[in-house]
Amino acid sequence: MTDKLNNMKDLQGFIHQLDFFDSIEDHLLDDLVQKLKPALYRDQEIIWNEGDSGNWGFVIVSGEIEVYKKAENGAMIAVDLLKPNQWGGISNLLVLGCRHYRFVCRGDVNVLTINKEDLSELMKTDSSLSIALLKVMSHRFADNTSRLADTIQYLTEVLGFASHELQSPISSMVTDAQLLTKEYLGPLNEKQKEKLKRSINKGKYLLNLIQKYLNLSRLEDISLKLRITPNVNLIEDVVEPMIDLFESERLNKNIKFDYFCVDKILIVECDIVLILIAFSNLLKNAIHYGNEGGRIRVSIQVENETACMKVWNEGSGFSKKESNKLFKRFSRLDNPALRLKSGTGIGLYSTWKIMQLHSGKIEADSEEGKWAEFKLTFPIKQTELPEE
Amino acid sequence: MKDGKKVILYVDDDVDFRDSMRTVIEAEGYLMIEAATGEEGIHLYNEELPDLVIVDLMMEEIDSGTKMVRDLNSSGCQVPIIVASSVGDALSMTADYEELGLSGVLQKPVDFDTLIALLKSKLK
Repeated sequence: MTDKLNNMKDLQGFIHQLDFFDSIEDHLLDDLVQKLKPALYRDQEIIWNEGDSGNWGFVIVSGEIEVYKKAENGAMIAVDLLKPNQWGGISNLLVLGCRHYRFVCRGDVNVLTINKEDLSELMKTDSSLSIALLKVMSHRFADNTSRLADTIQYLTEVLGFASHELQSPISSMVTDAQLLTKEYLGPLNEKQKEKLKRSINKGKYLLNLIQKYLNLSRLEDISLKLRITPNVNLIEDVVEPMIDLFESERLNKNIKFDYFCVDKILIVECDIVLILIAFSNLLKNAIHYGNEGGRIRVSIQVENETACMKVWNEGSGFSKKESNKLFKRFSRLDNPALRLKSGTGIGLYSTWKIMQLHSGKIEADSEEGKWAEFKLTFPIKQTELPEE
Repeated sequence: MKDGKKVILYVDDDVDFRDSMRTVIEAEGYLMIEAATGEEGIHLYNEELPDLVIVDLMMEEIDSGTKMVRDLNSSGCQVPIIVASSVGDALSMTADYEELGLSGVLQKPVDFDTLIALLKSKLK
């Protein structure tokens, strides 16, 4: 094949077939053919490694090339398979830089190579060649983006499915353990009760984790669209039902509760399920991280056409330095008091994401060692629905 | 009422849940009848006319719990209906709570003290 492509006519024929060169004048293609050099790579041969510096690229005439990327643990993962008429190293034809991938031949591969200097010379004479190369690059970029989106969607579905399937058996185990501790099936000694209570707490922690992963998988679903309900009364439909839902957990920690709202009616447009999740995350955190016997304060009001929901609690809070970690996914604060408490690093991230979807924001403030406050604000009218 | 005891219909496709709920409900002096699907639940409701119905929302067959509640309502059911669900589903349920005409929502895993208090208040 290489010999065959040494023949000028075959080379011209091949180049003319490449659709991204269809807008280029024949004389420029002829000049391009002069610059291209055929090369043959054997099966399993590495054309270049990730990190190598590069100033040349190629177009594949025949054969296939596996593209690998190094994962964080050092393992090489196949991320793409290049076929005839596709380019390799095209970005290095436009800018000088290092290779971002490893290219390995699958079977013998014939390519036509060109270096950056030769190509730059041609591009100076006619800008249509630059446009053709940018066209190739944008196709590659669109292909990769679409593949990445498919992968994220798939992983999100797996995460949601796995979490959902775990929920029922764990819930059943906790119920059975509760049945035993309440001695419905016969008396237990204190040691047995204590062991069962620990199992129940661990089960409840797992259920909380699963619920957060389920919420996360819903929020990370790239096809997620807000389902806006037009007349949600934030006070009666969101805030007060959640206060009721978590009352027993609050009373278990003997936490005092203050609640401020100017009016019993605050009508907003929102995705009510997501706003319920966002507000419940703040309330659960205030109880979970709040001091035993301490105080929680919830206040709801309208500020400049935005609904504003504040949850304040007495507790260890966080330092200014740590506050930038609060809304990052899977992030936990490096604070000895907080490290003693279980946490997933998902709840505040989900809340942040829900506020983004509602064109709103979440803010946090704290005096370390004394208190923490989280504030959600979002427009009461969702006129321009953000697309996700 | 059957043999002087109030009858509770519990619908859940998880046999372990049904077994645990029976232990608690019967220990409190009620009689429990059970079904594993919404369809079976409707059938049993019509046959036994229980005093209260508890339906699990998270049965394998999608929406079968909500469908059963709607079917009971449209057939003119007057007895209290309580749904059992996990915390997250309870959150999304809040919006439909009134529309479904429910008498209560039980969080799974069920806290037995809450269950007993709910039964006592609804079956005075």
